[in-house]
Amino acid sequence: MGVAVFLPFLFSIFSLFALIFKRDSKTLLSLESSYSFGVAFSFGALVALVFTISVKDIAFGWATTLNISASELSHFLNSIAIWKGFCSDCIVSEKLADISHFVRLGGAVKKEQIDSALLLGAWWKYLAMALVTYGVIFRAILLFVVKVLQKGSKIQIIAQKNEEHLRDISSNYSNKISLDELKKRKFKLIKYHTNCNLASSDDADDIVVCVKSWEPPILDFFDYLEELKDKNSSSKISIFLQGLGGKAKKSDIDIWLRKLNELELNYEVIV
Amino acid sequence: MSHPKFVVVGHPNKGKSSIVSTLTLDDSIAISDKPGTTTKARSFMLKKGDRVFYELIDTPGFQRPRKLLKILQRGNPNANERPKRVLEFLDAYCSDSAFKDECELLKPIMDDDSGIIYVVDASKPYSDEFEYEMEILRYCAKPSMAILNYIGDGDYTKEWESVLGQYFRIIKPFNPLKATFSDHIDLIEALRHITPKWNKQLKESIELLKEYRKSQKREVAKLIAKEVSEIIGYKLTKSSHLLNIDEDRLKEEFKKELASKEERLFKDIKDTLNFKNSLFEMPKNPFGFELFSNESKEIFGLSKEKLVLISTIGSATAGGLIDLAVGGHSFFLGTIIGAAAGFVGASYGYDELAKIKFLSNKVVEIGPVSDPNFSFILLNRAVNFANRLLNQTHANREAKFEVALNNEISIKQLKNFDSLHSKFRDKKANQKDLKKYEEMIYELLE
Repeated sequence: MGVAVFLPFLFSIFSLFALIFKRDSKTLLSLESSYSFGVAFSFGALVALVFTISVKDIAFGWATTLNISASELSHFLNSIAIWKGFCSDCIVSEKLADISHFVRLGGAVKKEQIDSALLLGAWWKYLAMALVTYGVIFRAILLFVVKVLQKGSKIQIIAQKNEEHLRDISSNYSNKISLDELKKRKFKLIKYHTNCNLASSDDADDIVVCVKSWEPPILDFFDYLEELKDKNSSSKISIFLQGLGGKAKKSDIDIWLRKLNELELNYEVIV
Repeated sequence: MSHPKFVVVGHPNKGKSSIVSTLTLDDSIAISDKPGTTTKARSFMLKKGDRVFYELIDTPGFQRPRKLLKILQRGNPNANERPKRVLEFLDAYCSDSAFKDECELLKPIMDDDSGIIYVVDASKPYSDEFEYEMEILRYCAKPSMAILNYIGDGDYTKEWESVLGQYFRIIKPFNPLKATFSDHIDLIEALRHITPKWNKQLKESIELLKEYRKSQKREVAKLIAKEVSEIIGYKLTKSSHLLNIDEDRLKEEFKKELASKEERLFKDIKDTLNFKNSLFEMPKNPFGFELFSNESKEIFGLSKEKLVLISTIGSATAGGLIDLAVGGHSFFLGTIIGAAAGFVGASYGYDELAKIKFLSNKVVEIGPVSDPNFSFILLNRAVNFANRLLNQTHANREAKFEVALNNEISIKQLKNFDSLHSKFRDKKANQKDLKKYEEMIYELLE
């Protein structure tokens, strides 16, 4: 498991090199997410480990099909244990590696393993240190580095996030119909500070409010719609986004739909 | 001493933040084509040291002008009572989130001794809903002016002017994305006239702004002179055995080093001109092609004819000096031989990169670039880059660079550049030469 913590950490370092080739906000964002997840996951694993060894008696062991001896395994694991200088207990001794080696012969527990039952639990220290060092501390440092690099490009990142958010909102707004569909219906037309050339039927119940799509929506307009709704409670009120010299631009429609979503209003929109 | 202060207000998404960014030379201000980017009033100052030229307050757009005006108009107050009515509104309604944006924009107008800059988009038609906003501003009774911004392609200037003229004494067109330095100065000049109170201070600010611009240009010229001269004389030393040397690889590495030095120069120019945030993700090659590319050579380099000409003149002058020293007894052979040597040298060296030299059997040295055209390409790219940024407003966040070669340099000037480049190459330049180079570069900056 120490290796399982160490290898993803190595991968994290390599992924940082990606910035040499492409230091844009997208790369920084994805690295930030991956490092944040890494720190959170390792911290969770550490808590789980401490909890498990506190309430359970766990005997750790290892097995392999390859021809790896206990001393080779011990040597390798200790070579990545950079904490051995200040925590000499937190390493895997050759004896520990040997005693905890399981072989497939019937899955039986060896007599020496039973005799050294206490020693089998000693793995946890190594494991905990691997999680603290590579999983939490080093990854937190990487996360810090990415955050520092990100600082300069904060504006771009925010803009990018907003852009994606906006795209999602406008494609998800379902209550919209085309002008051709509207023309099949009878409606009363109200012009909100604009001139619209749509045929209005004064005897119709439904109301269509024509508004300039090129001007961003402001709360005054929605207050007006709410007032209209109060006065005509049985009428269906729709918004027609008039274009400037033609059809309304997609970017303008997006802005309107976003505002409607933000205000949690579900008026039918004609585009 | 108080400084001139202006609150920039208007409908949402009319370019208020862009105007603030351009006028305060600050590219850290968030700008977006989506309405609602500015949610709080924020103050930005243009200053140098302790001296504040002026302060601009960026504000969110009006959201409920119709409702607000109705409140202000209750009881039909006379002209004397109107500003008081605005203060009463701020007292009574600012705890109410319904007027959050109106409070954000009216508070700095009424709290401070400030003027108003009302921004409209004259590329879109006027409509009567804007009258609520203008009427509200009239209630504030503060010195004010209107700016016609142009966000789209349309032009409804006349329509707007006829309405704005009824509310504002001064109306100025100003496009924050395209404004030149003189447009900037013109706008401040216009602000001088909205109230006599700041007339003198703004006049001083204009002078200081011009000085500031000059000092920025001076700094950029110094930077280009220093870094370009270093790149021209740069030599790369590597350990490599005489027998194992891979010339092509060494040359590639040398080119890469030079390109990264140029990249650093671009970054330093950017920082000097206060473009610290928006161009963060500027592409490695802002012109779209590399330093050692054919495009660079074609666009930024000198033609072979020009190179040969300046080299021939230079060598002939040197030969002429010998003739002069011997009192013409050389029958002007010095001039003739010098001219011939210059001609051959320039023709031969046109495509050469750099000589590779072994300092010992284990240490190899490459550089400086012997092609005289390289120095011109490098200099021209740096000057173009600087000119582009000098003419780019801080609201313009585009990092695309189009090449615009406006500088017609005389052969004599080219010759002067060439002789300094030779000194940099041979490491024979002194401080005086560097200063001269800086002066010559300063003249090329716009």
